[in-house]
Amino acid sequence: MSGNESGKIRYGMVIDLDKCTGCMTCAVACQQENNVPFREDETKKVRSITWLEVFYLDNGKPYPEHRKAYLPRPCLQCDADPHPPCTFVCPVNATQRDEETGLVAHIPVRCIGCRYCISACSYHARYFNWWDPKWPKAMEEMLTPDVSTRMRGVVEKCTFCVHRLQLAKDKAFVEGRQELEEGEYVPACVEACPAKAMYFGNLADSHSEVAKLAKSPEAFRLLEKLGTEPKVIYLSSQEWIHKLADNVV
Amino acid sequence: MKLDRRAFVKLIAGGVGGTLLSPLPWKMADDTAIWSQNWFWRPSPERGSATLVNTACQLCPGGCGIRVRLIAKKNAVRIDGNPNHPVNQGGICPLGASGLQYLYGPSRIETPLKQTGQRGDVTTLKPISWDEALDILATKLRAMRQKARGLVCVSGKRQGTVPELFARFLHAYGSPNYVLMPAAADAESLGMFFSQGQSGLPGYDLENAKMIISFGSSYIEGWGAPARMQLAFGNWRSNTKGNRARIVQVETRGSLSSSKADDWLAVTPGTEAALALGLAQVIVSEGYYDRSFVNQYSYGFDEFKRLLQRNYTPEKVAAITGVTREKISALAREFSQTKPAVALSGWGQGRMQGSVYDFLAVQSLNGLVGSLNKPGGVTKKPSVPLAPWPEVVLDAISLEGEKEPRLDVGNEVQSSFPTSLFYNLVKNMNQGKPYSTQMLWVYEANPAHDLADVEPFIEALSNIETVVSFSSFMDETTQLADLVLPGPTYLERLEDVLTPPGLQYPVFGLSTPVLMPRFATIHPGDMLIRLAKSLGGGVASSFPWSDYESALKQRVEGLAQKASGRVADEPGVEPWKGGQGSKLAPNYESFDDLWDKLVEYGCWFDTSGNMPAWDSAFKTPSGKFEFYSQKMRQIGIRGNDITYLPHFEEVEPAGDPGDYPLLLMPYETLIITNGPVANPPFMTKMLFDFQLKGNDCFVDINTKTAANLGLKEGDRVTVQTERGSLEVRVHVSGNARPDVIFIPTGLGHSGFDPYIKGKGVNANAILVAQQDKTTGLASWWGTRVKIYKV
Amino acid sequence: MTGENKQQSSGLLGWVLFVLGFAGALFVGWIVFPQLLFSTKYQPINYNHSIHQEEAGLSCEDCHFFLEDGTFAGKPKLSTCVECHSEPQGETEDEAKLVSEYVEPEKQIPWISYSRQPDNVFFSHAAHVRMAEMECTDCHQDVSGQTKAPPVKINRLTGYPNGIIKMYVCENCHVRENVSNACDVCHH
Repeated sequence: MSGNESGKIRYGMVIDLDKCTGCMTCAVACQQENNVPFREDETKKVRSITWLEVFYLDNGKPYPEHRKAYLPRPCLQCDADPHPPCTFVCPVNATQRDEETGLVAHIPVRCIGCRYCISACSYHARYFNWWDPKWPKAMEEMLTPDVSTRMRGVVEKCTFCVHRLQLAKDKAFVEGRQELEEGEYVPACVEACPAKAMYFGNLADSHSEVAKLAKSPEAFRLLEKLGTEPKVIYLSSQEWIHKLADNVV
Repeated sequence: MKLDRRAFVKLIAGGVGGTLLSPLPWKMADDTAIWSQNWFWRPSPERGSATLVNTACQLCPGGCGIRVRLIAKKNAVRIDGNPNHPVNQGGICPLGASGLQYLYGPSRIETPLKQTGQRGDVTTLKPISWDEALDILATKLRAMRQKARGLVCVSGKRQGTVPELFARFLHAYGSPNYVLMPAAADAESLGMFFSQGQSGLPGYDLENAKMIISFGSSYIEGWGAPARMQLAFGNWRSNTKGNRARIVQVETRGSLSSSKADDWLAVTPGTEAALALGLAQVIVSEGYYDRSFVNQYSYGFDEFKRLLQRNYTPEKVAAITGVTREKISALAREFSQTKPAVALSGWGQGRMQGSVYDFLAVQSLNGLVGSLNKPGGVTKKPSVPLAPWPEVVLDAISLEGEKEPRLDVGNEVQSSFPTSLFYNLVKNMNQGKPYSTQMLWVYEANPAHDLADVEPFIEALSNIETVVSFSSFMDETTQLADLVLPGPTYLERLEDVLTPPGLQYPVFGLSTPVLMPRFATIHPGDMLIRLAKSLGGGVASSFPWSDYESALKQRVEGLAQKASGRVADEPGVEPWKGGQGSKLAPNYESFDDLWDKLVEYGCWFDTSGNMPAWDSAFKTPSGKFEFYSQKMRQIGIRGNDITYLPHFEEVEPAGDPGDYPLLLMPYETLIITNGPVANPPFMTKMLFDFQLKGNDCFVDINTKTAANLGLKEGDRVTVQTERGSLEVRVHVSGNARPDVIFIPTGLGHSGFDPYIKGKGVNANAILVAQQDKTTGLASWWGTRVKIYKV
Repeated sequence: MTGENKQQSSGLLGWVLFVLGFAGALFVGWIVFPQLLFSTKYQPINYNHSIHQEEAGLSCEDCHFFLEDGTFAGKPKLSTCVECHSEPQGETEDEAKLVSEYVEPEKQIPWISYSRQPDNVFFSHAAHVRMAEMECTDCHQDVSGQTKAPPVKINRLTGYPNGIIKMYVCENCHVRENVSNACDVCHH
């Protein structure tokens, strides 16, 4: 990437909560992109799989000082050294951080479903398949071959749409390029955001938009004090949102 | 020799040894491991090369350009936004992104259906052939031709060639009863007619505005063109601090639109217009109004000013709205001094007609600050320069039909309104006055669920001999139909998608079939052409085309002839930039070239530089914007002076406050669609568990009110209005005003598929719609209610 | 007969049985088992690579090529065939079948893949052929010059064709070539 002397890649996301309208398109686009299954009743939220979950926040004040905001939460792709909390505990090496990109992968076929990673994750970003995914017959035609479907008994989570990185690299290789341009690889949620509130790029490249935004005084990360070093950075001008993000009540 | 134990052991040992030296055990172990990862019982998506096809979304009137990703040219696996499209610029809304769940959804209707038993019994809706279905319809239409006025068509789609073909069919057949589903657009078009002398709808130049006051509009929750509004909001917020556009939300509920605004004015329910007039009063009395506009282009300013001084002083408006005097004055100053600034009207998502005076109050405020027909302000939504079709050929019956009174007209003056008045239609169908309805057509609408105050409509159906649905899905209205003629979904059909609500520049989107129709459906346009031909006479002559495509192409010729506008063939276009009078050089040479490009890129647009010239902007008797509407007087509306001026009419919500101590207000959110289709699984999944839990939906109740009533989070309660009662759960929230409980609309389906059926309740069933006596427009923002534990 | 004799003869028999068992197991393991494990499938059209190369002058890339989006079109689509075979070019039975069963009804030919990987595997032809400059025949059988389409051996247990590349092969090569072995390089 241009302007990145180190050549290092740390893919990260910036979500501007001031621009976010809470429309939840990101979450829908994610489900569609990643063959995320759905059931007739999805209201038991601990059993409902949403790689990109939308958290509800409010300032806790009475009417009419009450204010709310929605916070989209993909997998935060923790950059903690040497391991994210989840990969460290996996007994079968089914989840691992790719040190060339910073992406935390989870390979469902390798997963034994012990759910240790789920308890290790501080952000509820990992989901367990309590049932086999099932679609009405006709809807099987809308499953993308770019993401394999899972089965009951395994864990799954957001991958920052790593299959899009694979495809973007393919395109670059065929055009004779080793490296990707900014914007060539963008997860589905970021692409779909109608308010353009989500940004994606290389945090290690000081010239990238995400790296610049990450330095904003309005930037914060979720539960920063845990030292998990998430690569998803939020922007907000609202102090109460900053406080909630670090669980300060 | 005898085979003893030892020999046998040796045989086995040899066998084991040999086996170990063969690939068998190792291969079996390896293959078993691979087999165990196959998971053959769950679907393995088909592989193939991917292509992207541009088309236009039609799930709402929002006019987005979309791209469908196809695998092996046949399986549609993703819908995302078309980056070239000026309206959504690559973004999309949750409904648009869920579109494939409709295409492949289990509630699709596969063939024509005929009700063979009791109406409403889905099990006796039996498949029939297209020939039989169209024959049944043609025979009935022939038989009732002498009473042609008894045919009523309800369209949920307000513009485009297919609704026009329906209107044309009714006209040629001899019925004046082509009626649109109710919407804020009804009040807007009437308001434009009264104040500017011409029907039309407002187009807001939001992308250039520096300050926005929204009077009850859910500006980021589905008002106007939803994806465009998200994009505009992102742009308002993307400027560095100090330069951000200022957003003020005037709304009773603590919605996302309220929370995301810079300022939220939590007004007394139903008093948004009073606040607009209060602001106008301050602007006028402190002299902050735009003098050049008022002096040159307005009529009746003095009368308006007198009314404002008399009735809408900050003290009085503070008493009505609950907003402090200081706040009113400060906001008025800010609004008049920030340029450009614009005020939005239309309650919620714009599904409620509302009062024409509410629109006039907000529009007059725009006029006062000089935001009419100016960049960053509001103008008349430009029309798309399509070529006209040949005139309808009228025969003796249809000439007679032109003179028949419309069923949606309730009094003398309403007959000159450029608006549908749906609630009058419901009333008149119910009473069979002035004449009875024989046949009802329903196109792109689901009134049996989506209509606020739905019960009278369902009752009216029992007086109608034949109900025909053109729906692709088993919705509630289709369940009540006698004949179902399913059309293809929007991803399988050709159709035009015109400029969405509230947009300031013209757009022509082309929806093209991205894949083969999944079922043997017939395009409604083709159906009407075929039907017209089989009826013969003037009806047949009015439909000279061989098929819908040629009818559409005839209109698109108009774009080819116009020397301005482009096909959206590159990303990042911003038609709102460039200013007044700017033109776009066409990037197509001929009609064929234009058509091919439309099919490839999906959209034609022009700049917003076409704001009407001042001398032709107003078609009123004075030739000016009329604060005091002479048009109203001209068409025979009687009343006192206030009648012709923007004013606030207090509406008393239905129900005795003694019996029903609280107010029930419906609310709309982008994550629950309000029809004509039901919520898709992708979106329903995203509802919070304080919105939907199991099959229960929640009402929002203020924290203190809940405590006073002894209600806790999650309690099951009955909410009862004079229309009826519903069982819901309680969500205790700071969103809610103490005297109001809020209920979401869009849930409570009895049709569609198991992913939505029976989830939540249909708020429309217990709302009371109140009609304005003069205009016939209906409001249903509030109904008195009582609430008690189950 | 003495006990010793008895022991001797049975000992001999034992060893004969041992060898029989050993040989039988080897026979089953090396000859019978593969026969049982793999089913043989034939391509819907017995494609003659040789005739297309020599008489029609086609190169491999005319049918097996990269698409603009970087993916590799391994098996040619019907449209490629139709370029020449809208009408029969010769008189072979297979060509007649191609025209009547696929070209005319516009049906895609259901070619059977010789190297179908599981759903969760992402294999990048671009990375291996364009970047690492590997030969096609490093992984695929060389069919150039062949007059018949080789039958496809499908593993009855796994459902995959015989000879698909296993993960350890990928990993070893990635290690040798100093390429990342992170999970998400090859899985999705």
